[in-house]
Amino acid sequence: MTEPQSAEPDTTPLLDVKDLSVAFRTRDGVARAVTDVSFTLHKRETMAILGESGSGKSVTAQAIMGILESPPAQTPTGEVRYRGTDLLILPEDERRTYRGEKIAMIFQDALSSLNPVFTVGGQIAEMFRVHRGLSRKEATEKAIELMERVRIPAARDRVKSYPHEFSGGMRQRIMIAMALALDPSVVIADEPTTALDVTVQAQIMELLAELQQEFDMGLILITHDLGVVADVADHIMVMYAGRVVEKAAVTDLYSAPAHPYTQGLLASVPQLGSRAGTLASIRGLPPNLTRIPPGCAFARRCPMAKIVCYSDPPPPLREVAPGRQSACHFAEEVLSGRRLAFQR
Amino acid sequence: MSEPERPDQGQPNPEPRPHESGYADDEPPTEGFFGSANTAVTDDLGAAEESQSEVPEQRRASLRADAWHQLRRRPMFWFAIVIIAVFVTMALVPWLFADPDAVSQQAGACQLARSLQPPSSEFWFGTDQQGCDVYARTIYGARASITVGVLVTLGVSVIGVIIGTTAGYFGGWADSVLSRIVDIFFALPLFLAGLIFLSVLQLPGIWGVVIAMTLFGWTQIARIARSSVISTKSMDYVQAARALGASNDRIIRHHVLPNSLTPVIVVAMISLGGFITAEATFSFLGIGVQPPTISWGVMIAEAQTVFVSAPWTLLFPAGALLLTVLSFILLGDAVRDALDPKLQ
Amino acid sequence: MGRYVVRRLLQLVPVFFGTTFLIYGLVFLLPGDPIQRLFGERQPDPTQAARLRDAYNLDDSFIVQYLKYIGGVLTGDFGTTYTGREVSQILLERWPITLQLALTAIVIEIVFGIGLGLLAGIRRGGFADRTVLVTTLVVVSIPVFVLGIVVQYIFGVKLGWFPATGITDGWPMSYLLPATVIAALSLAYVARLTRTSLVENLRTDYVRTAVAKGLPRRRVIGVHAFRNSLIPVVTFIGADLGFLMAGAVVTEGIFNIPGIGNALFTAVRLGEAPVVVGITTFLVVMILLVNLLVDVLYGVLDPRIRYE
Repeated sequence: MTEPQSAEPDTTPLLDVKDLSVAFRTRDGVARAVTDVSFTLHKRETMAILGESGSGKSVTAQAIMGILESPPAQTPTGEVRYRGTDLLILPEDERRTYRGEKIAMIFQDALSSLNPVFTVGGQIAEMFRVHRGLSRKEATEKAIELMERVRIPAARDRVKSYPHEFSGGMRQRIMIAMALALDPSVVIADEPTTALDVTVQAQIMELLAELQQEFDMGLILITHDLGVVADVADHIMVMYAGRVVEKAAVTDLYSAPAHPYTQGLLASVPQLGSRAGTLASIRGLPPNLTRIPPGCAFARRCPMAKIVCYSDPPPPLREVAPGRQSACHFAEEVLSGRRLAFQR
Repeated sequence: MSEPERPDQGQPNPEPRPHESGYADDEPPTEGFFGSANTAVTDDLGAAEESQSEVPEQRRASLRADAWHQLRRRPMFWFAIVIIAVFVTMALVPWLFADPDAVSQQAGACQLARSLQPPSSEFWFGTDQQGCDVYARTIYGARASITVGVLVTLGVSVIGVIIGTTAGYFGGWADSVLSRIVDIFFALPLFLAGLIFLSVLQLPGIWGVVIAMTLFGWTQIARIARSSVISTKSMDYVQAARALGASNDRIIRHHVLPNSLTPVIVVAMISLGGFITAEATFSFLGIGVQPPTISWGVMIAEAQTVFVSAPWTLLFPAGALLLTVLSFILLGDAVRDALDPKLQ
Repeated sequence: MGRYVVRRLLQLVPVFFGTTFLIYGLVFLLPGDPIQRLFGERQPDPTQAARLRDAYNLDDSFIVQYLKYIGGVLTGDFGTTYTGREVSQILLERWPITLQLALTAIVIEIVFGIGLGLLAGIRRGGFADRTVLVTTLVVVSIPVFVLGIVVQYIFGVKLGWFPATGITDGWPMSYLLPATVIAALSLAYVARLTRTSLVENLRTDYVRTAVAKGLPRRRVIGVHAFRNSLIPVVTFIGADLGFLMAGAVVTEGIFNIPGIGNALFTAVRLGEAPVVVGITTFLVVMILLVNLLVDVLYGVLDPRIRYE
């Protein structure tokens, strides 16, 4: 399987994930949140993981970070290699040394993700005090520096403020500052802009892109928002019901999707200037992860589903064109531009 | 005494915004855009249920049904229900359990000659200092203790809900005044207020204790009702009802009250045990239930002097008290856990 | 923060007046002759009655009575018994004893309550957790006076580890047993509350962030989760004070400790209303002040509250 080549000549992947699978024990049975996810991430590369709620994108991120709650999550299988070392088999103490230092995460809702009773400066400084042994004073200085880097005005004054005293956008910047504190090589941003206004969204995405260049890091952007992704990502990995259904470079994906689901997603984006009418959408709902039907998980919602989609095992992710991967029996058809009718 | 309401820690559940995209796309519109499905908005790992916003009555019904289902499965619940049922029956029809003559003050019931006899086949719980049958007195004591508990709980619930709902719903100066009144009554602990009231006013039978506790025990419920009403008031369906021109009275009765009563019910159930204990304490001090009415507190007070040589005189009424209070607390806990959406 | 304290102080004033009014009203507004009530079931001696009428300003209108009464309270005059003894004198004598008892009880409550709660919450579902839950549940169902009598018997009489009555052995020996009895119920609640609070906080997003930051578990629980978990516990301790006092009244009676609670206990038994009113007023003022302290502490712990 040839992976899409990154722009940089540096070919050692920062992150190499192979067949990652995560299952959860729930009241209704075992939920297969993530099944056989594989991808690589290189320096300065931005990969977007795109999918609706329940597609497994957040769980994938959390599995990489190693912050899944162990009941109900079961131990993930597969490999997650950071610069060659498989993180999944490391004992917890060692694993912890990667968190924050080498791989950092930015969460969706900064208000609930920041500790309400500690100052923002304190929370950023904590990274330096715990990981680098800096004194409180030195760490606070570093925190102010970071806050300025993420463009929080009057950083020196605001270092002693509490999370609830900031606006949503500012809080998200603080989360970003916290994540970038120790200069990690990989940053995973889990829906960083979903809780924000559209204009603020743009600012944050711009900031992330800048910082990525500055810090030379690999960025994994998790989102369900197609619009956000277009400007920032190099590659996109589309997930559905816990599996990867398509992988491609951004422009390729947008101009010619290779999977019915992707096409449906793109089609459901309302067009400026289109005729007023009913919005297109993919009918039906994603499957219950405790009872994933046999065959292709998307078959029931797919306008071009055939018998084989239901009867055969789920289509594997395969290369359908140079640099394009898709998990559909009929990917070539979709790729060739056949317009699918998503209707009731 | 029951656990006081915990202040809101203000950690909101992040509610992801619905799919938003402001970006024009180059895709020409596809044909056939029907479909009632949304891409699921709620972040739910398990079942992807219908995510239409539900009418409050439906939500209420399904929450109750779910709660009942949860409740049924807990052994603690059944344990508590059984014990409570036994004691309530004892309270309602004590003559089924013990001969009424055994507790009457008339001569023949308590014979000094039989004083302080250990449990035997004739006197299952032994006899007390007056020569009375401890078993019979324990049974009849249930009546006073439980009746007091139930009456007080009903009384404080009514008062508390009226005051709390008025303050919470109408806000403004009504709220200020009422809240101030609640604060004042809250500052006077139930026990101390009861002490004063009962040492000054002697009422026959159980009425002194009942009135004393009802007059001063409603503050917790008032506070909970108020905060519950305040949060219910801001719900969309209430705004909708108002916009449709419903009168305040109707809104309160049909929309606000039914939905805000849940925490009140939970607290009331848990408080019941506390009121029973309080009654026992007052009776122990001699200012609770007035003779000739028997209650467990009275029995324990009388047993205090002879406890060392005749422990059964204290242990049986104390045991009964313990079981009853324990059951009510368990019931309250079970109901709260069942109704708590976070624990689903 | 300063403004927050001032605001709380100001809110205290109407509550103080309201509550003392309530207390006063209870005794003197209830139907019947107040003087008669003051004597309980005994026949009042005419000279005593006259003196009391004067002392309690009963010939004045109710509001004036109340104001004179409050005036007295504010200058430390909490009334007199009918034998002419000043209640404030009684309070002064007994105050240090009850204070020692109360502080011991609170320390026991906090240390063991929070300690057990943490132990239970850290490993939810574990052995410590289940034991704590069951034990606290039982303790909470036992009334203070039953616990007092039983504990007094087992540890005081039977085993003889502690004196069963009185304070002749001084601190700590004489105080430990009654303090534990007083603290027991509240301890149980504190333990459960701490446990629940900790468990809830361990599931929050910010704890997830703390873990994602690579912080050691010790710090995640001990610093991040702990501080937030304490908030409801602190509130509870404040609200629980009235209950603690109830326990103190009963326990001092059972263990025969000459404190304020005992004075109240005896006064109630003897039907001495002026003493009951006087002591209760004093206790309520104490509660209000402690609640203020607790509010301040809450403000320290939770910065969000300071700007309300």
